[in-house]
Amino acid sequence: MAQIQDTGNDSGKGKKRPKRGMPNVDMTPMVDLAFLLLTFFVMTTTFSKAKVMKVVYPAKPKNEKIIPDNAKINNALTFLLTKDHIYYYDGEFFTEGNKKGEPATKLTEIELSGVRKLLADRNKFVIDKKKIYADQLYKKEIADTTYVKLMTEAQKDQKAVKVLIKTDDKALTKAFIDMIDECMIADIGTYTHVDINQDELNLLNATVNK
Amino acid sequence: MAKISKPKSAPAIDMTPMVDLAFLLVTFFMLSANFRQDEVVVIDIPASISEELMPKDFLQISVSKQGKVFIGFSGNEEVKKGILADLMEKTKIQLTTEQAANFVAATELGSSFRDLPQYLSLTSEQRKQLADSEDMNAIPVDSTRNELKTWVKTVYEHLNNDGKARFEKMVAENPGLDKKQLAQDMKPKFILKADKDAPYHYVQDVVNTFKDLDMDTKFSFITSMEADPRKEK
Repeated sequence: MAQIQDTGNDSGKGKKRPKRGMPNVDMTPMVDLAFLLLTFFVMTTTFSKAKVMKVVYPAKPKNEKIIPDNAKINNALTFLLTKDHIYYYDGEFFTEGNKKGEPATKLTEIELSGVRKLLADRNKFVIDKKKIYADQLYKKEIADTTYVKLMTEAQKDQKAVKVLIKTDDKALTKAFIDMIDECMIADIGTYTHVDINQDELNLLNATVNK
Repeated sequence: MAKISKPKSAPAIDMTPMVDLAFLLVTFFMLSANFRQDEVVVIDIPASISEELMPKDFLQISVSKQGKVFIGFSGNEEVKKGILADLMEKTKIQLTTEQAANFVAATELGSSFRDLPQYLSLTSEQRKQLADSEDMNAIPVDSTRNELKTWVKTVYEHLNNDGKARFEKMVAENPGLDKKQLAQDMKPKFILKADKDAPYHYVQDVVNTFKDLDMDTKFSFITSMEADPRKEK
């Protein structure tokens, strides 16, 4: 209590002194001060420490001729991002009337919410492996380092899906970050941003305007 | 005659528990606080599931909603002074002592070299207003005049040298350390702080600048935390 306790020797012998008024300490200014400090700290605090998300971009090719195209990448899934829309196609890109006689590539539209399922289905190989390894890790059959090594191996396997993300001028950063995020959720090992080429851009514009 | 009733004294409220409570909260906030940095430009960062923490040695490029580019970097006063001296020599700009002091104190800068002396004379409040305005005063990144290149090259060089010096000092003091890991930690990392509503090609322009310089193309985007659906089980 705010009153100072009187522990005087009023017990026992001696004359009982008349009870003096105890000094009252007014706590109100102290409350004011405490709340002032409190307000200051509440206002200036940021709780969450900044988190970062790594994205590795392909380095600039030393020689213009060796730009890797999708044809050389096994099991690639290419996402084309534009404002408010996400499209994807599978594997290699074929233009209308290509030399190989393949049917021209068509873009499929997908919602961001559907991307997770698509990637999980396509990356089943890695996700299944991960389950096995995680189980082994849990039972302490393999060490942490072995687990990381095995996972990296699985992600680099031919059967593991690789994701290429291409954007046009209207795509927003949020769409790109969300896409990378989905790749991380689906445990995809190889994903990067690649510059869009003219054929893809034409097809994208044609599909959007349809 | 009616008796004059004595004015009743206001009921005394004991404030002690309230003080206890208030100071408890103050203590909590004081200990958990990490102070908000003074931001020149307001950037609404996107969310991701990544849990990696922000590195200590970094070179940060911010891309605002309108696509304006700002640069910020770690380093103590010495390093920043070194960077400034180098930049002044390369770009032939002249700064007053006061402007130089503002350069060292600034967390982020966004101005062309030509306007830099004037920009550094502004108060941080005025810089914020300029960053919010439609006026395209920021670091030029277009192919005709890419000043970000000069910035990145100069800043990286100085940060890297500083990192190496600290690395050697640490290794000399504690020989038992994991040298490979430590050297990696001391290297400046590239941070991208892009607004979630910024058109992505502005970010790509920044990345291409790094590519043109033959630098490492590993970037870290600053993101706010989001729940990881893989862990919801």
